[in-house]
Amino acid sequence: MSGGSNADMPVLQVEGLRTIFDTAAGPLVAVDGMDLVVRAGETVAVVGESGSGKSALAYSIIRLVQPPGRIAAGRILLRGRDILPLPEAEMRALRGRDLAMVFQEPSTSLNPLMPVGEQVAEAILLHESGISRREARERALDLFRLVGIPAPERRLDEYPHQLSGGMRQRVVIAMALACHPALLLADEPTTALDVTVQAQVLDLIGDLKRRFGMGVLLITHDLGLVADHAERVAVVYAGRKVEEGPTKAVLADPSHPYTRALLLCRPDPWRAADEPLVEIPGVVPPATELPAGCAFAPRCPIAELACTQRRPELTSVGPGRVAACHVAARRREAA
Amino acid sequence: MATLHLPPALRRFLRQPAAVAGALVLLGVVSLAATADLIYPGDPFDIVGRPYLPPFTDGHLLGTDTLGRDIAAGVVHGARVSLLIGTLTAVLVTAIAILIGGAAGYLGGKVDDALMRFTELFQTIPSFLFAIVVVAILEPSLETVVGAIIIVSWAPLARLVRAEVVGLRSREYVQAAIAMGMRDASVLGRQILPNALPAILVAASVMVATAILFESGLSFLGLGDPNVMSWGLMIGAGRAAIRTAWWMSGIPGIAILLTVLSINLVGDGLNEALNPRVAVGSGR
Repeated sequence: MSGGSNADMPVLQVEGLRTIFDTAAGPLVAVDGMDLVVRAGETVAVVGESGSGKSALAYSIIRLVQPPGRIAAGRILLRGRDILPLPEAEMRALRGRDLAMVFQEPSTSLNPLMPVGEQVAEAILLHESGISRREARERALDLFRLVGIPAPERRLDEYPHQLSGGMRQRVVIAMALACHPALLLADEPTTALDVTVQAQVLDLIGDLKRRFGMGVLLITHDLGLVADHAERVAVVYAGRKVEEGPTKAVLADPSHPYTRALLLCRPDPWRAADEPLVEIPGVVPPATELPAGCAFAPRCPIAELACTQRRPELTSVGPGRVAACHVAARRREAA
Repeated sequence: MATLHLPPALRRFLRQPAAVAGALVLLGVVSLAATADLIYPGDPFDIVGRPYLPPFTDGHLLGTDTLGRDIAAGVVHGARVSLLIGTLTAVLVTAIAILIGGAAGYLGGKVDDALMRFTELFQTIPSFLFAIVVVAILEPSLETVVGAIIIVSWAPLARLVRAEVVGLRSREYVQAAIAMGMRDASVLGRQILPNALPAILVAASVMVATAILFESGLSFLGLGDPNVMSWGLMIGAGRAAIRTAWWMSGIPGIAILLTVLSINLVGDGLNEALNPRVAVGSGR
């Protein structure tokens, strides 16, 4: 099914997505005018602080935004087909088969009362009707081997609490890959894991992505992970994309002051211990009281008068790169 | 380490002396009820000896009542009624509670509001009075007694199930199952309810005891099935002679006390043994 029949057709296209939570305090715009493209065999990282709307984006794509949240506008095309107008039953058939999700906490994303092998077999049985329980179990065993679980035969019958965090996340990934989805949504897949295991899990996802020609949307707050594991990166702030481009270019020469600030915030092991850590002053503004201009302006070191009055649009700042910043746009023109 | 989930829970249950004692007493009551026809064949309403015989006289282990009926036979046959009504109502109440509480908790929103207001309606009515009214309107029989107890006692359990389901619904593994494309009924049946089972089981075991007390109370007031020997009926019949012949109401009273107490002890023991906070982390 998957493969390169039409390699140019993106696996995922998000166009003008707007996700709103209707709260007592008024509508809260979690995702605003988001555009995003993920191609087969490509990892796109979505980076942002807590509350920037990056998880709401992932839940919107798999259409699991819980009320009072709702998708207010936009299109989400999965292999060219808009999934937003689909009835729930059809959407359910897509979930797990065409797009799958890996959650943040491997300790809680498995049912504690069911052997892990059975949970993976269940995921297979959900989407393939003409298959017996035994065959599903065999497939689960293959998947366990694929994701590098040692002694897979024995692990099949173990319960989640008997596995380490890294092993559990491998099981979760095995489950997500059960039906070879075209798109994998990974919502902070390594946040709860040890640093050494983080790299292993991300390498595994990258490896499987290449083998199956899968598109991966990696949601993270850690720019450090992005460098080695994503081809493209989109930085989001207060529900809007503020910069996007090839990972190397963005990290080497960030255009948006927010991206630059995020990079500066990373603790540097070579820096002297008595030097204070850099932080971005202030917090992400609550989505109910966004400023009229650029949402980052109140925290921005280079903000100008225009930034507080007019919201900057995404403009090209280099090959395949866009940024939403008045200052960056002007510098680009001057150059 | 190969076999896992039941043994640790069972071990935790067996570590509690009170729970084990309760289980043994309960086992005794159950075996008496099961063998009632062997120990005391025939109708417990039959007059078999002189009235007002104290315990341990004329071959009547626990004496006779005001009409000369054997009290031991009554207690043993009454155990059947009590346990039958207790378990039957507990099972039915649990089924109703899972249906209503599960739907309310899982579907949320307007369904939840409607079902919970309906449940609260039942909770506001004083339960024993309500049960009396129900039985008084209908004919007193085992079925109507069971029905009356169910009507007055399903509400708290339904609320408990709803609370459990609401709590578990937001867990990541439930979200993950939905994200895998699992349908609502399977999510509820395979992901949520098994994890809510410990709490439901404990509440259901206490429900057995409550139902036994309800039945005894109704029978005592003469609202039980008059053709079935039950502990409440015996207490009611012996009440007039309580000053001269305490055993007529005292012995069935002790039977109720022991049974209800043992069920509650077992329920507490289950609570301790199945408590998810203890059960999940400690396997490793």
